[in-house]
Amino acid sequence: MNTHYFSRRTFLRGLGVTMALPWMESHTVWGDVSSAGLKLASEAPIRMAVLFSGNGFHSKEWWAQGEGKQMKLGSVLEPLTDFREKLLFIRGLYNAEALKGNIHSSQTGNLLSGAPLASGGEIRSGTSVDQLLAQRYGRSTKVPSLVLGCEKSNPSVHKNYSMLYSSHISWTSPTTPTPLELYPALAFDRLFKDDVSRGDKSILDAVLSDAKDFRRQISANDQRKLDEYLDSVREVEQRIEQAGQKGELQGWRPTLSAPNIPRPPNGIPQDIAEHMRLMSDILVLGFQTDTTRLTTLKLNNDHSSLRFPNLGVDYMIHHLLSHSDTADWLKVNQFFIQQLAYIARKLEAIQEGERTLLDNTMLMYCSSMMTGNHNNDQLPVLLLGGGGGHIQGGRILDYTGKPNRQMCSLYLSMMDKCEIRLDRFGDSTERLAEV
Amino acid sequence: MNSNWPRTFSALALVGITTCSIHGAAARSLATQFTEEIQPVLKQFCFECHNPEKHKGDLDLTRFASLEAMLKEPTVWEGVIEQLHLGEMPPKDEPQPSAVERGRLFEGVSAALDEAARAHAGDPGAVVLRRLNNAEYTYTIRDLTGVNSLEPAREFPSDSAAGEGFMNTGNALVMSPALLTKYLDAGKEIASHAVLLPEGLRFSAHNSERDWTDDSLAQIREFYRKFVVDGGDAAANQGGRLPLERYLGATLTERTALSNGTKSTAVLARELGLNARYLATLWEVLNPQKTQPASLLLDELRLRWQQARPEDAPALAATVAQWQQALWKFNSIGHIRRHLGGTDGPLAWMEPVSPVTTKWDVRLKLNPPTNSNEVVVYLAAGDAGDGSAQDYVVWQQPQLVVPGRPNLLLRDVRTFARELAVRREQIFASTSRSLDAAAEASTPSASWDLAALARRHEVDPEILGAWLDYLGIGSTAQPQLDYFTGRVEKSGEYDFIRGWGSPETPLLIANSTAQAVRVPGNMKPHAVAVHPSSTLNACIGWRSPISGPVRVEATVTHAHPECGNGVTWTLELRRGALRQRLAAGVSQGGSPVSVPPVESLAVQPGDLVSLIIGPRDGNHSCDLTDVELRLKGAQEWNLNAEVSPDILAGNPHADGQGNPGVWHFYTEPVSGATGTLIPAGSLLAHWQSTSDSAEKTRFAAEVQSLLTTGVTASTPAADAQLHRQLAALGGPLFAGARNRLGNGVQSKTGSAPGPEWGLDPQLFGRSPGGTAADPADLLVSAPSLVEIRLPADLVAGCEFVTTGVLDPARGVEGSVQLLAQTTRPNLSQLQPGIPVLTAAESTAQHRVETAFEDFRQLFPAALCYTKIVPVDEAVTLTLYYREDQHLQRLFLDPAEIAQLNRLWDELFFLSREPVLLQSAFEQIYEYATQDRPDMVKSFGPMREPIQRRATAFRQREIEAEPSQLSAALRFAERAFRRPLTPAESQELRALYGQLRTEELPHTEALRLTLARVLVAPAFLYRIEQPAPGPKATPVNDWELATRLSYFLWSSTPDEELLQLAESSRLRDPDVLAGQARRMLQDSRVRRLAEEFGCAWLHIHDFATLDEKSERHFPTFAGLRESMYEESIRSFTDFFQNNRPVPSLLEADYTFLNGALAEHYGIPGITGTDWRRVDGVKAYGRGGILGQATTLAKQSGASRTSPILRGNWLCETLLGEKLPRPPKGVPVLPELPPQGLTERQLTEQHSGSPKCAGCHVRIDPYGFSLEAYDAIGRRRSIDAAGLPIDPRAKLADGTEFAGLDGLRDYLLTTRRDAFLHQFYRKLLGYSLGRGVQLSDKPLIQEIQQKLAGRDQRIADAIELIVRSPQFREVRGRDFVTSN
Repeated sequence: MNTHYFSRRTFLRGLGVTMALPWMESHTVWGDVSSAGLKLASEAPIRMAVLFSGNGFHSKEWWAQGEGKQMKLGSVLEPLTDFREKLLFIRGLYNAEALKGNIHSSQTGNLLSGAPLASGGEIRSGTSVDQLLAQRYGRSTKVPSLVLGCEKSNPSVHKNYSMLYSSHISWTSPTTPTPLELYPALAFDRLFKDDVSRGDKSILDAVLSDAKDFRRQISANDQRKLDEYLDSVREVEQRIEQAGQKGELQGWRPTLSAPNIPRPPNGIPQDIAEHMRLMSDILVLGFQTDTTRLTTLKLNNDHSSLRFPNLGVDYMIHHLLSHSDTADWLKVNQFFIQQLAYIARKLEAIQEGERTLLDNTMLMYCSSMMTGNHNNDQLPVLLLGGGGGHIQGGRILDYTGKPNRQMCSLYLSMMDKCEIRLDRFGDSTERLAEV
Repeated sequence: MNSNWPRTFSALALVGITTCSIHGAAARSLATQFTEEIQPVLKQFCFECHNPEKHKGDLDLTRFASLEAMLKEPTVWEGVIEQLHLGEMPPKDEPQPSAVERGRLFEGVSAALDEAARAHAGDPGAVVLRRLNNAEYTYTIRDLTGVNSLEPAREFPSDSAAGEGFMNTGNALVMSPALLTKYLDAGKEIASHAVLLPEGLRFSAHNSERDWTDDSLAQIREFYRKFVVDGGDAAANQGGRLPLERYLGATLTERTALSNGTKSTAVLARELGLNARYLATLWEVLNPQKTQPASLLLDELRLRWQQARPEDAPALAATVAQWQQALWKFNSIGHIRRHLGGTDGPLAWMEPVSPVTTKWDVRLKLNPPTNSNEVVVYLAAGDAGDGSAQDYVVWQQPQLVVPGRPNLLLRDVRTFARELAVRREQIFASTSRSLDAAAEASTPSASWDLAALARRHEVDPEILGAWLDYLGIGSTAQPQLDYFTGRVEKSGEYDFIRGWGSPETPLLIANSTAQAVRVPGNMKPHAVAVHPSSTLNACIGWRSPISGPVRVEATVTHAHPECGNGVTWTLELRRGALRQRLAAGVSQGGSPVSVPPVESLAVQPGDLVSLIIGPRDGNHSCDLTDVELRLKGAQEWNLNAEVSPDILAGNPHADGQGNPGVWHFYTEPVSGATGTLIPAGSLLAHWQSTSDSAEKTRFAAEVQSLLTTGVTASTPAADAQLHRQLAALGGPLFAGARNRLGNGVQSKTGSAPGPEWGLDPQLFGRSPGGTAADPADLLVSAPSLVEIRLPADLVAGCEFVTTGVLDPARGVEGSVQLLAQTTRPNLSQLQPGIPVLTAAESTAQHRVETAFEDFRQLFPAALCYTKIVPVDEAVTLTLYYREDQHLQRLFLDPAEIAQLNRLWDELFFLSREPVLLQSAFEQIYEYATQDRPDMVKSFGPMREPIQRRATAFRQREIEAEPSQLSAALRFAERAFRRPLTPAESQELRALYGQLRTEELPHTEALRLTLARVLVAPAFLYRIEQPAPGPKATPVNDWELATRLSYFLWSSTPDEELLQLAESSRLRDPDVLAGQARRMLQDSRVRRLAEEFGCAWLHIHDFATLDEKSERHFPTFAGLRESMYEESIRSFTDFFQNNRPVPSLLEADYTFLNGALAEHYGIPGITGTDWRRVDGVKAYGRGGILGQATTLAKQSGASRTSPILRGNWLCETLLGEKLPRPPKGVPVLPELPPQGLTERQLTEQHSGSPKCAGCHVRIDPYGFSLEAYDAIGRRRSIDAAGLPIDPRAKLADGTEFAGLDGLRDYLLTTRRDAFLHQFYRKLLGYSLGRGVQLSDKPLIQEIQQKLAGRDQRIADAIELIVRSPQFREVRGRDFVTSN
């Protein structure tokens, strides 16, 4: 544990206090792992992925009983049957702030941060757990984190909350939802496109200097907005500087050094199943090549308008379907959980030393509500994978009625596995001891 | 609650800047109200839950101890009002305040809030720094580059909305490393569309040099096309013609008006879309103001024009066109070299031709018609349209010429014909005897003497001699052959393929080796091949050295079968003048044709057996023909074996036995081969073939009878032909007589029966005045027409030859046109296409030349070379050929010429023509001079000038760099929407310089500089620099221009706005308002329609809506673009035409194409064109409620949803706030249960007490729209076939039915709510933030001020742009607390 490697300023940022400049200068970056001292890289690192789907699940088929191989699963979870021994079924967690606003948007935008959401014209949430990790733990890889999505965000305001809340669970800062990559090909490029064009560095230096000049002349609010730009330029610059310089990875090497699947075709696939599969493949590939250790995959929006002609369910969009408990709703639920199973299966097939890649991963699946009726006083949460041997699967954790049942408590526990130990996160100061 | 107001107000209080009116009298009464009316009610009904301990809903109301405290956090109190209004608070199961208490609380809080709003009215609010959203970025790029096909944001993450629900709110517009990378890539992509020009840069839809060159070419062609017509044959470099008919037509149609000055040529030109300059010039020429010097052609044109009516314009134009053809010629571009420094070749594409000559040569082929015995030749002399002074013409020695005969002077024709006619009688009378004599002479072993034979048979020896020659008896007349004389030393680069003939064609070649090669036709080993030309056969003759029978075999093989149309072949026997065809046919396609062997052909020494190869149908391409010829008699002959080893040994060539002169290689015309063939089947043919002497005698008698009696209707065709042959004065029997008579014949025999031929010899040799001249010349004075009748049988095949000149004695200053032809000519006026004859160096010649030049100047055959890229050559050095001086001279003003020059310069610059030309030259030089050493002379001189040009061009490219960099800086200025600071200019130049030092070439460095501009914060963000301190101040003019243009156009300010900003005038609110009105008229306001109008209605991007079941609505995907277009067009119309805001609901028109009209069931509208359609209310349309977009968007994937529609109506159109849905909402069944309509299903759901509270407010609106299905079609029954019930009963008891009822309700009862909501949204959009309490007075002001003015949209927008909110920005140090 070496959090002192990070400046206080950065640390504060992570907690949702935006301070501007200079950004991450004390940071070590990809290719400089040993001096970062995050971990002597003798064994495979821990990866974390968050999968999300909106509108909850079937009210009667989200359950689990028993332990290990004997665990029995509700129909929604049927696709995970093979992974029961690596599954943590977590019941009873909630996000207190999400109870306060209206429905949908305000139940989603703070799912990974536990932060209060601003309504009306404002946008304010909190830095999400994946991005907090990205800003620290993610620095050791070429791409700090991948933020993927399979449904275009909805450009309107719903019930006095911007719909960007229902389209983003990942937040770079309290005012900056991380833009989603919807194009499989561009996500692939982000991981593997290395060619740095001549002149890029000069251009970025120049515009960075522009932004610094402007910064002095604008209001504090605008400065905060401009800092998004400054930070972005710096990160791109750093990536350019690091391009082609392989760091000294002491001991451990990823099992794959270059992609073993072709670059996906341009555009967004018409078929939603194909879209999800490509994104899942990229997620796995990013982990396997150790190009990134953090990925958020938002399979659809909360208040989603996806249809599922592939399942023969195209007469009703996801959101409206969620208001029923029909067989088709169940079918759609299973389809989403199949994505988790697909990823898990691929990860399990990759051997990293003694363990599989699945053993070195924490796959979290969550939704904004329990069922389609907006009830979020407890949320559906799954954790799959060994977390580097730190997580014992095949268990059911039930926090119903317990005082410490914040989602943020789970996040504190998960960050511990990555050796990012914080005293508090969001609305929690305690860990979930059982995780 | 974390919204703006609490922070704002505490901030105001802290810095103490407010001159708060709350301390006035009203405030005191409000303060009293607070303590006496508000607080007690709160205490009694609210504090129970909203206290510091319970803090229900994060709300503690106990802390508001005073009015001041309350006014610090008005948002909290807005929430309180809202809860009261919705009836949400206090909760139903808690004690409720009385109506009076509730009203008191409501009024008290409202009054306080109103006071707060007034106090801070006009606050610009917190507008967060705005990044250009994807739409704004795209539009901005398009407007900056002028390229509307660019889609730079296509793969950007989609934007989000905030504030009032629009995508132009800074909070929701985020940046990330991934997005920044996309901006950088997009910037580079856009920069790749920059076209670097000599003086700067522009942008193109394309990003390759090839496309830019094509663009440039297209621009020049487009320029030309405005003036010219492309007529004629494209391949022949036609085009660029003057559309003269239209101009002449205009002068004729408007002659009166133009003459009396009621209309000017300029006005007429504008009316008709003609070129004013040329029309004026033409008018001036046709109506000269002062007397013009005589100008032959123009004078005549004027005359004709004066008499012409409007419908004569085409004929007039056609005459001009004929003269254009006569006065100009066109050259191949490939032959023009002088513009590239060459010293030979034509000067230009279009060159003047002067049809002026000093002598007129006539060679007139006479082909008599078969049905007439005469040919008439006319010799015409016209006065060339300028009077007949000195028009004395000499037709020099007119005569008849035919190969093989002495020439016959026209002067002698009359006598000559008369003599021959007499002679014919003598010949015919002695036919029988002559033939008998011939029979005797043809007996084998006969030895005879002509004179004795004639005597014995009592025939004139001359006549008998002619018969014997004709019949091929005796060897006196060997046929004359036209031998190949040229030696072909190698063919197809093979020196073993040699032969005779022309290097082109015809020729004969032989392969001396056993090697098969292609030349490019097939040359087999030891082959002999021939190649005819288009007019000449290639012939191989075997001249018999023996007497006796032979067998003849021949094979003909088309040796170049891949192309061409094959050849004809003929095998023939020639004896004297006699020719006998043995066989004939066609060979094509590579298969050998074996000529049927000719058995036992009796030959005599000197007989010629020939194989003749001719072009088929005059087409001699690819006609190389392999030939074999073998003869077998006492000896054997084989052409191939005997001549192929040494073909060049001689022509004629010896045979294998050493007989000299056996093989003959020659040519003959394809048509009109010399020699005579006796008609097969005729009496004479029978005479010839029989060996029985009695029969011979009988046939001889019959031939005589035929000749003397003449042809009757019953005469067989062969005999009729025989008669024609033998009776012809030009025929074989008269050869002797013709030779004997010759020229200068004097009549000995007196007049003969029949017509008088030719002319009176007395007419020759003297001028009309009587002066002596060459005795064979015919002298006339123009105008003159001499008609000459000639005997057809004498002149068939002859040429009539003469030369016309002006009489050197008396015609020196004459000018005439001459014609000699066999039809009656009309030379009564000057004819195009016929040269004018003058004496050399004469004044007349100068006058005619000048007249032609006058005409050429006004009527060039082409105005310009519109092809530009030459198409007439297989190989041409010229890449782009410019010739447009006539267009410039006649049509263009200096500005247009400058524009054209600039376009050409751009084309040369972009294509790097001088550099390309240099390399093209080197290749062509190499290629051309290798095969054609003579071309060195032509190409050599060009090398140095071409090199010099290329060097100069490279230098020019370097010199253009600074101006291109300056252009990039100007682009930056446009992109940043304001002038660059000196530091910015310097930095941009420095970046460019640095990139150059990184060894990037100029173009790349410049493009990267452009990319840097496009990724700069000053471009991507709408940066505004507030004044220091806390006070709001007006934004500067540039920022204001940007605010206005992004509000109305979602894009960068245009030139006019920038100029107003530059001159600091935009800050004037009247100027600003005027600009807003101007901009609303512009087509770019379509973007406002989409970004504001459609976004407000939640149908933004409807064209990609993917929420409908394909199974239920297969037509939807094909219609959604049209549906969206209707909404966009409706809003665009609304803004552009300053419509009243209520028209959004009540318009009785909409915009439709055929497909959408069909969807709506509106008849009579077809096709893909969009049009405004009126009277649509009758079909249940008109206004936003009747649009498929809103109806479909607020429906499910397969069925309607009254709840969605009702909710949308409440929230979006009326601005009502609805409480959060309760927990534990019952679950809806998957499909409507049998027998329930969608309405009943909704009613069932909403009937639950948990839900009813809200749904009674929402659902009725939705029910009223139930007569529209889930994709907006009208319906009377639902999907299950149950009848629709569109009646609605609102919570307050109001009842109405259907869309009409709903619309009326909204326009009357809810009019204010609708207007308020619309203005609120419009204001929020215009400011890019959520509307706040302090905006309330402005919204009220708009609504009230426009009440008497129809609520017109432009008025509302004017009030907005004049407001302080819109024009000001909060001070930099306006402190907000967190």
